[in-house]
Amino acid sequence: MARILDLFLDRKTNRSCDKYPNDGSLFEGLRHEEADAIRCLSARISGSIFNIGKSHHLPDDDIEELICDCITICIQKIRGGTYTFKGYNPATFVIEIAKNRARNFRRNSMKHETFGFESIGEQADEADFGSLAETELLEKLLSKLETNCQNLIRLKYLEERRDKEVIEEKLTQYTTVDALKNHRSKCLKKLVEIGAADSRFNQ
Amino acid sequence: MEKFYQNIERYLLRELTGNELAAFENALQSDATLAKSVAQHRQMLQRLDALRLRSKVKAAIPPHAAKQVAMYANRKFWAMAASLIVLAAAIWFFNQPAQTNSGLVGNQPQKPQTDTLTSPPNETPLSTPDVPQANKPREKPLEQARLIALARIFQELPSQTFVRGASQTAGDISQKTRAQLAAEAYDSNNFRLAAELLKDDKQVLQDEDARYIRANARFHIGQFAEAANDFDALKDSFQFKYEARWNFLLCQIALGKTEQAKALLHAMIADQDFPFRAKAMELKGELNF
Repeated sequence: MARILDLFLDRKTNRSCDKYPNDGSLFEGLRHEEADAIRCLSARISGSIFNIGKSHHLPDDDIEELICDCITICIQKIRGGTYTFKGYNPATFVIEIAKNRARNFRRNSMKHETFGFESIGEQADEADFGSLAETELLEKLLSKLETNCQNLIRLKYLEERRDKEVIEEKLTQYTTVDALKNHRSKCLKKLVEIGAADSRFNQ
Repeated sequence: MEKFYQNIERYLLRELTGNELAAFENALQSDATLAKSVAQHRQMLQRLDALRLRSKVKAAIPPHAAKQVAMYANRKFWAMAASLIVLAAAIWFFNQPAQTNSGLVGNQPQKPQTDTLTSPPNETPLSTPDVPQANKPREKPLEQARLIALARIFQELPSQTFVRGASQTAGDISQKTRAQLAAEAYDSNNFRLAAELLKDDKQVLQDEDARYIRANARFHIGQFAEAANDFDALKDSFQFKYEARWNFLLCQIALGKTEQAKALLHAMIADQDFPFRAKAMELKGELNF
């Protein structure tokens, strides 16, 4: 059936799974944030999460965001070591996250609650910063910084540019790595202070 | 102390080493404000990392993929798709015989069809184990279909009087012989039942009427090879010899044995006394022999 669906659906998405013949290899791909692993996981969970979202009366756009949230949270947990591979499909874990989050979406609350699931459900229910609401909030805080600071932080933490590369490509006004680091350190401190002052950020 | 605050990012990025790292960790132990600031920085870096990761995930996933997958996973979608497939298959199936048989069949006068076991006589029946290759409509070339249609048009049918006479009995229905029941079935256009009732050769061995009924029934349901055998067995019959010869010829045509058919047809045309000579000449014109 999956092969037949390949004919109808985006072949690129489904071909992504060819690189991950088993659950373990997919787990490793996710750990390394490989785009193909993300696409493969998305292809495996999208239908289920769409149905979960619909059963909670979520609009299509929210369901798309829910899928992004769940995959992001899953990868964060893999990288943070709170979700370790135990032989089952990562899709199962992501779907558990989705079930929990769908309930919270409906209640217009981004706080997580525990619903008495087994270990997989509990693991999936921990706090995260990868949700749409959290990331949107962070974007708002970033926009309060001056442009130079925003640029420094984006280059380092969102675009993963190396300091040396930033200097060589003259992406900022700084000509040495030390000067760049010093100024960015101050920018980060400002951002932390703005966040500390925002009540929504500390919930 | 201010230097330590400037080094929080480097500490969290693990860029501090040696004395710098040791001094920072000592300060962290003794300065609660520094420790709190480190915790806030750590959380901010986690949030930035989450924002980066989410952007990466969003970029990797094709838009509206979920909706597409869900649509195909939806039961209603599959039910609708299955219905359409069944409908298309039905249309194809019912159009298939009409395509294989040419318009020639429409020329034959038809009785109302009541044969519950067969396809209509003007259609090529579906394949059965004992049916020759002429009865496989899907593999049959168009020329073969045309020949079968011609054979059906020119078939010399048993007279209604003969058939009804063969089916009549003085007693009640339970006393009827298989031959009489077969004649009755034939009269009702239930040709497959007629052939089935007389499938045992013992039934027709001593009964030319029954064999003639069976031969024509087999012809009707497309069992041309078997029909040919029966007609051949009747070619010396006093009562049916001409009809048997003629229908035997038609069986050869339906079976695609054109060379044999050609020879038989010429012999019939050459025979001035042959009762179906006119039909033979007409058939020759149709066949372009």
